[in-house]
Amino acid sequence: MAALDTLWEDRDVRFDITAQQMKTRPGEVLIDCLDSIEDTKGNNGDRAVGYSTIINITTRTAHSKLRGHTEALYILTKSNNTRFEFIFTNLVIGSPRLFTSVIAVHRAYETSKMYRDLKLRAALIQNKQLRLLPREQVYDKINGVWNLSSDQGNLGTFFITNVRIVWHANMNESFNVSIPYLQIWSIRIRDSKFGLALVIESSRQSGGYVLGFKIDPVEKLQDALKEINSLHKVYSANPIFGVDYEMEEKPQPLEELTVEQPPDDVEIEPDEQTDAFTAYFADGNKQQDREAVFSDELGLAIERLKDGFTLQGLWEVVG
Amino acid sequence: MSLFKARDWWSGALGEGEEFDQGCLCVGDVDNSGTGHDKIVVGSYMGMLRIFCPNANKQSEGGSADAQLLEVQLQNAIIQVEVGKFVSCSELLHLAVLHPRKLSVYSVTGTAGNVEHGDQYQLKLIYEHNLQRTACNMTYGTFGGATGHHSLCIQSMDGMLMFFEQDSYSFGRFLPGFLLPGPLAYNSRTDSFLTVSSARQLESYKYETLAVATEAETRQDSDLTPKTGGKRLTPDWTFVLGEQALDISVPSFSHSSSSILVLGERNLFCLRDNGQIRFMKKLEFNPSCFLPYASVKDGTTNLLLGNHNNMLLVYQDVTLQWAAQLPFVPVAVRVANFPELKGAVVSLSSDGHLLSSYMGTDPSFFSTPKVDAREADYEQVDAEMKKLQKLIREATRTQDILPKSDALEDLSVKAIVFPSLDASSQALIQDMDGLPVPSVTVQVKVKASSVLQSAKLSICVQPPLAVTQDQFVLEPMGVGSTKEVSFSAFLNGHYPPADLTGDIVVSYSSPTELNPKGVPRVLQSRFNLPLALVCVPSSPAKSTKFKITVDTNQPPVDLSALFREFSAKTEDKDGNSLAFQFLSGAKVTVLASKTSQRYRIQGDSFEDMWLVVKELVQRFDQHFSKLGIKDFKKSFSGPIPLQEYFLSVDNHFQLRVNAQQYQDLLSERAVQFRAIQRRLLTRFKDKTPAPLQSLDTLLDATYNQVITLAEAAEENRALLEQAFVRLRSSTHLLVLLLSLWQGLTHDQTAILEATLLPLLQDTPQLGWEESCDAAVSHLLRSCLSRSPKDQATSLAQIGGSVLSLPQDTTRLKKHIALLCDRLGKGGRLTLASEANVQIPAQIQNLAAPGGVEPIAEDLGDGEEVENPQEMTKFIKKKPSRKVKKEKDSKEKKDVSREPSEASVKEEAGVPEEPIKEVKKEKKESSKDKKESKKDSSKEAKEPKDEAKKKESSSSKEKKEKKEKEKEGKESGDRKVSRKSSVKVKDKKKETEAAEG
Repeated sequence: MAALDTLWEDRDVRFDITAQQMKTRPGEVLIDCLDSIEDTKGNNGDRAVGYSTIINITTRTAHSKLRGHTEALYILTKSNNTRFEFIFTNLVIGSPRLFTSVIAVHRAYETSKMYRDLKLRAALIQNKQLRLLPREQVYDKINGVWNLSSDQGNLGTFFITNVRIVWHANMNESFNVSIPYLQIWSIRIRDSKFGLALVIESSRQSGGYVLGFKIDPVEKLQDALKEINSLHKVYSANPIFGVDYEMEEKPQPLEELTVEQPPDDVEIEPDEQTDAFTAYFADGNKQQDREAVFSDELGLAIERLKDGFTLQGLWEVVG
Repeated sequence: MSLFKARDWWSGALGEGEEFDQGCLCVGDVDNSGTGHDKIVVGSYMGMLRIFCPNANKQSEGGSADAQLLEVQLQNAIIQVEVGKFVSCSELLHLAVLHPRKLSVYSVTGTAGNVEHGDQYQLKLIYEHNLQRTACNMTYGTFGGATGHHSLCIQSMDGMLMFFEQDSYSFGRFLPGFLLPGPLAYNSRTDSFLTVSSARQLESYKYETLAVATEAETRQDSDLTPKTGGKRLTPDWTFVLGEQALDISVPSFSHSSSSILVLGERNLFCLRDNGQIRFMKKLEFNPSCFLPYASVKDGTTNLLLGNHNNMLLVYQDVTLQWAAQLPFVPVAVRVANFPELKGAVVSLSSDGHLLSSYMGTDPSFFSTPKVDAREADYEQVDAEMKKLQKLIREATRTQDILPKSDALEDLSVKAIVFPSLDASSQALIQDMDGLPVPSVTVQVKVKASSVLQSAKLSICVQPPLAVTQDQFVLEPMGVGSTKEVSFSAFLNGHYPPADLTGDIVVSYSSPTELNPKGVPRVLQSRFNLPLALVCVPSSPAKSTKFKITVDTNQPPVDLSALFREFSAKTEDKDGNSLAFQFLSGAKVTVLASKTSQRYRIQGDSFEDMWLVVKELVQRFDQHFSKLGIKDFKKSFSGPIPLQEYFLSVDNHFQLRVNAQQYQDLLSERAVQFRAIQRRLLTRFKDKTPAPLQSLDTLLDATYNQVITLAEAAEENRALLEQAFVRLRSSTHLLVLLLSLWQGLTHDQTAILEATLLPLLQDTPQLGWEESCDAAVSHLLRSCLSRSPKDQATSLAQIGGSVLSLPQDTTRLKKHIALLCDRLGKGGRLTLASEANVQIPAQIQNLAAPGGVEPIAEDLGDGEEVENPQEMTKFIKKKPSRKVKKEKDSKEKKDVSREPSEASVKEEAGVPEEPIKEVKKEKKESSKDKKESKKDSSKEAKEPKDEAKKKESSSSKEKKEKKEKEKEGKESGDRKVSRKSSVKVKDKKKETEAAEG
């Protein structure tokens, strides 16, 4: 189960990754391989981009700016409150592949977040039926599931699919939760003040929710746990991320391009933090924004000023 | 690019390819939580209604799931969402959702759970109105001064304002002069509605006026036939904007700052409630949305303005107060208060990026930050650079690809001509006129000093001489290996050859490191065949047509001693006469004068004497150098036998003309032949046979003519070949005589030879006459010209007409005669133009017959001095040193002669100089004026010549290169005269010969 929790590929920006990390993980598919891409910002050929390939979109989904400027691809990312800006230039002049591929894949990624993100109170249910995602199949529907998030509890229904578990309140369709297997940290049966309950812990990156469900009788509860566990295993082995992208023109079959790399058994831990990412800071030498405060001067929230600075002074210097 | 950026506090990407616009965003405490904190309500054109409560802390940990309070899929597209008190008897806020044909008012209620994800929210429909007309936008407010609740006004796409008071429809009114809907706003202060009409003016309608205006059930009625029950609707006031508006806003922060704000496409307008303009701000960008949000300073309005350059601008009235860059173009912007943050800017993009941000205060300069720890390893880079440079250098090094230098030859070729003739002749023609044709064996030794590949040896002798084998393919040779090949040479024609020398050419390739296939190289060598190959001794003839007399400064020598192999048959025992009979029949007699130091060569044909004269001169040189006499001199007193020479020229020319005629005739006959053939063919093809009309006879006759002509042409060709050889013989003789006559140096002779014998073969396209004429006239125009002016013009006229067979030989003859004349007057043959500029003036003074070098050299200019010599080197195909060596060793006497000759000349020249000076003075006095004039003109010329020099410098580059090399050898001694340089060179040769 820990295997899934180490999923970082779509969540993080990493630099100087090892060849092992560069390999596509299960379920991750190499869509396009672009040669002669110049990393305009970084100069010293980092591992992350030095291979000049885009293996997957490593932009933090929370905030990414995709914008083509002449021949360059800017990717603004934010990871752990640090913004990185990548500028990739396709050296093949006039080739739109960089943009089409990356932007299209990014779009496919953005529009398929339901596969990967835990969702609360979303528009999941329509006419008491789960709105299915492409390639999603409902394996089981369990009635009479109590959500133990409130004192009195809410009676609702479980939908167990090959991608996620969905619960919704029978009384209020908008009260629901969708938990992809990808975001499940643990599933177990635990005692609660309501008696034995199925407890699903979501991963930290999804918010670390602890969701309790009560199914009566206990046998039914056990069955549900078993089913969810096995489906989770299946999913872990062969995850569905939901990004389906078909190249309109495939340059070459993947097999021909793939070079088998002998896996490095030994991973050398870098002694010190490498500095590769400094080149990619979106805002100069700043790693994190300062906190927001309300400015009476503007009547708006602003980033807290450094000591000795005034808004007026800062603006006048600029103006 | 902006300096500041909007810092995202919370953000979300909404939906999958949904679309959003201006009215789709609103903020408010829609769930009536009582905290006063705003929720963000977003509706999409795809009908999704979402409510968010942003929460920054959670997001930093990665989870944003619980920020979404509600997500509902509605049936219809959502045009606008507004939060207000839309339900009567309720102070609670409700949500009004405008669909194209429906207005729905919902209540949003939340039920708190134990944990955040336990909070549940419910959307409950309170009431809805189905609309008769398609809605465009709406506004709400306390219409008519009502308190406690908000009424709604919807503008339809066709210009009807529909008023709803909670769950009841009040009335509808058509706007006058409507074309397209504009933005709509309600001004509570004046209880009026504001819109921008298609007339591009801001119009204000009082609610009162609207209420009492004509009831408009149909649009047409309202315009055409106003009912008596109501007044015609007119605006309270209008203000011409001159452009379409994006949005209208009527903020009411305080009474002192009451104003109406209109965002146009290019300008921002601010008006008072009565329609008077307060200010107008011209915008330098395309705005996308705006929002007056506060009145920070009394009497002013703060507003946010988004534009299509991704910028969010903060204005206080007309003053720009702040700017921040957004990651997208905002279509709607709001200011909201959240539990953790007051005054957050909420912006929405058309593709569903919802951003709650605050203004960044760190300026960002767009410079790539320095990467400190990642410095380039300069040593490594340096090493790589060096390595690459070394590679480049090696690749471009010419020494390896091209032959390194001729210091060390890969190969030595030595030809040995057997002293005696072959016992059994190898000749193809065994005898000519009863005389047996002999052959002589030549052995070629090839010695390799390095590895050789695919070596080929070819032998070339002058026609009509022939060899038994002229091509030899040699096996690959190792270092130090030797190969020997031998062949026999003999005469293979009924006329004597022009030259008895033969050439050996070895082509091979020597592999180098970079070029394993080998660099192709060629080596030449030369051998001399004996005179005995082409003639036999005979009895002297007394009376002959042509006579040539050669003077010497030494007592006569015994001819029989000089020509031992020919002396056997001679009857003259005192060695005064010797006769040679060529195998072709001509007889040449050499007579030595008993009293004077003269020798006479006489024969029946001019050209046949050449070989004998050449042999004689050679043997004289050998003889006297053997005797150790250094100042041996031979000369020809003239006149030059030009008439005799011209005979062979004319002969050759006539044959060429004949050849041309034959050619023409042949083609004419061939045309005729084909024409007859064609006619015959049509006859034969014809289905009804017609009589041939003697066409067959004609065909036969023409055929015979063609054959006869071809035979004649072939015969003529053979004759022409022979004539050319004869012409060459006589030209050689002429050159020899000219050089003897004027005492020309070796180099000058070489120029002369190159001029008069430009071709080794002549073809119908390019023959001897025209090429020789071109060369001679060039010499006449350049170095032999009378005035420097001619010289200059001649150089300008490089590249004349195409050479072709001349009409006759008169011109050529005239030119050759002129050449001889000029040479006789002291003209110096050289190709270096600048050296000759001075000549004409000096010629007149210094021209003295007798072959004394007439020109006093300008000793200051070493380059000038050396030029002629270098030129000839350049002109004459310089044989490789090996060849030279061999030649030198073979003609050892010949070599040793040269310095002696030179020194003789020098010695003779020195004492003569004072005399010359005297002469010069005398002559100068006689034509003093003329001279001075010439001098001045000459001086004037000099700069020009300098320029010329530069012009021709490219062509002389090679020369100069050589000179530089030479200069290096002579250790910069630039004042060496030509003589001494010759000496130096000859000495060098000697040393080389000694080494060899």
